[in-house]
Amino acid sequence: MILRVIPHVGAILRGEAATDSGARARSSGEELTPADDQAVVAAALVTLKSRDGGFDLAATTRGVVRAREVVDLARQAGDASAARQVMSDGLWRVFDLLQAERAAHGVRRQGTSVVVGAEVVAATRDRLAEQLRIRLACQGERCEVAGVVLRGQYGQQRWDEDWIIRRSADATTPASGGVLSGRCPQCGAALRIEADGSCAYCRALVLAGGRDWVVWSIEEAPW
Amino acid sequence: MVIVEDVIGGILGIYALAWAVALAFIVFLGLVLVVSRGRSDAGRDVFRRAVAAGAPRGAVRRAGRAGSPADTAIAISGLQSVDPSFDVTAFLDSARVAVGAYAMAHSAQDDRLLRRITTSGYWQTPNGKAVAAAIAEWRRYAGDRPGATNRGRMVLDISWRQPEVKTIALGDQGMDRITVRLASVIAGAAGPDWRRTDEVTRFDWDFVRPAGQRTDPRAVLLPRICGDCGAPYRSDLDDACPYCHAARPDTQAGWRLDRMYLVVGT
Repeated sequence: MILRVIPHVGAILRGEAATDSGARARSSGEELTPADDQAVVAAALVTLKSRDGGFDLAATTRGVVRAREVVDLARQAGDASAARQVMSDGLWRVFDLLQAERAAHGVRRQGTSVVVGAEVVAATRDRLAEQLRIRLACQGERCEVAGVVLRGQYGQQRWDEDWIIRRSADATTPASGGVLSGRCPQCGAALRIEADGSCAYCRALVLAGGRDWVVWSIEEAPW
Repeated sequence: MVIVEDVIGGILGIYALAWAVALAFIVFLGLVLVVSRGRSDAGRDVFRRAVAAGAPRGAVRRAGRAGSPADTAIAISGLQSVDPSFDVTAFLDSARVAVGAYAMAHSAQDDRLLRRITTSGYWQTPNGKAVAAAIAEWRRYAGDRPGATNRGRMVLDISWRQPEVKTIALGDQGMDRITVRLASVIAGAAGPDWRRTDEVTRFDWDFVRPAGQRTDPRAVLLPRICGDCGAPYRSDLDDACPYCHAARPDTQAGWRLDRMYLVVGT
């Protein structure tokens, strides 16, 4: 046993030095990123609106809440394809990996929840991309089980989730409402995504963030 | 008789020495755990500096050692001037797939996707060798049990924090190279009692492609349907068509993971 460990001591030490684990991981890296100053966020949203006259924060927030419902249903059903229509390509590939891993271990997600509040806690724009971090206050039950409870607990709880949406700096809000409204940003048709991530009608790549907001990242506080 | 006694004494001495060394080694590993996972940030910082100083070349980077944001923006502009279809959002999005592939290899011992998106050179780096060694250890233990799933370990969630392009080098030894720094967050559980094994690790990831290659905007996704027989793949982890067994191509928009460095620092 010890002889087997000796060749890997260097890798073990390097891993320990670069990794926060256990309680330290939960208290540092996994926690939600602190909100930016509200004045800075408000100014960024004004700038965003001045560049993109069609941008409507309330409609965008509703779209994110809808996206959360879509992803939640996909998690409950263990069907990654159901979440394809709102996630960026890379995020969905990782989501798909996770669903396969969870299915292999018989992990089931239980409980339902609703969004009871939403707030933009960060808005950034650079030459290449725009990004909004929307903090959703959620209420309900969430629990993951595989024979035993792996995380979460039964009973009503409240928690926050950060949903980060992103689009190219050149993108503007489509007249149809776009991806978060369930519409293709290119042709305006009801969004139906092919296996390769393109619109089933016009074949445009709509989930790479080049044309419209897509869900770019989902961050949850440890649970 | 005296010789026999000396031989027996020697054997006992070596036996006792081996136990002493083994115990000292266990105590050493225990101390490492106490220092690296303890409450003291100062002790942990000293430990990190010591490990960084003693790490082999190409394994570890110190936090803060990277290009400035302004330099990076200029470098991205330079890249877009020769490759107008390059989009940093799409690039980072595909880099995220590498995070998922690494998490599956590191935490669930399933390296099928990681092998498809890495260069052969990745497996010669210290961190690539560490991943390969851990998986080889699992396979020795698993033997010829059916399926690739490690029933004793599972990944519950994979996410990242604060991904950013740190450096871009074009035409470096015939390759274009982009370094992305991020913290990978892996929520996992290990049997038999499914205790949580959450980890947050900071990495620099180096992605490369042949110099002069241009971005194909449509090549962002792994094919979901076999090009030969049209059958669907079951998951991203499939290396070949489950029906006709044709090899599955993997595009990653031309970029492959070539190196990863653990980022050490406070």
